[in-house]
Amino acid sequence: MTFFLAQNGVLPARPSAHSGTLSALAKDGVTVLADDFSLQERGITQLAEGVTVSPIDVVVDHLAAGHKTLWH
Amino acid sequence: MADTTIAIALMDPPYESENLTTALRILDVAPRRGYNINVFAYEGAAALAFTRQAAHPNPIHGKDVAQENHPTTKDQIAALLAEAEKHGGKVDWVNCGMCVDERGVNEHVPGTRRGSPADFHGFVEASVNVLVIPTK
Repeated sequence: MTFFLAQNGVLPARPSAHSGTLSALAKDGVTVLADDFSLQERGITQLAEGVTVSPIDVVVDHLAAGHKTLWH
Repeated sequence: MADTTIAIALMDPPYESENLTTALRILDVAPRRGYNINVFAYEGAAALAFTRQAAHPNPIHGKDVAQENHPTTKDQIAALLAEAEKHGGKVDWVNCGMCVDERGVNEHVPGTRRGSPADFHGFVEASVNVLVIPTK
């Protein structure tokens, strides 16, 4: 499973009181990605443990691979 | 890669939600790979391809139209169609007919077309994957 954070969804990717859940997801084997453009727009440069910066191309990769893709 | 077809359903109107910025970024990647894209523009998104959108100046900031360089979604869609053609992919962009009638936005970018939710059903059947980006 891949969890892709975009838009305001990248805000909890900052090291904060809310980022522990994302780090726990990553420790459990979920790939947690944060959209580079959304991060740049919000001036976020430091990410919580387990969260990786990613281009949005990853979403297209998963779509093209036929992976179930849900927007929430 | 022209045999790879992705469908996307959009519902947000132009110039309101960041969802569309993200959607257009996704749509920008796919044609560069030569993928075929099926887009169903539903509800407010039916106005994305409306050709009478006009760029505007920004008098508060003292900028004329050229300086403001305001992007319009109709131009972004036209660019998407051109990019797909350049890379050998196809874009089937359907504007929901009832939605455009309700909004009076039935003059659409050439290369897009009028359709119905039945087209979306066809897109789901014909595509390797579907991403639905709903309004919130």
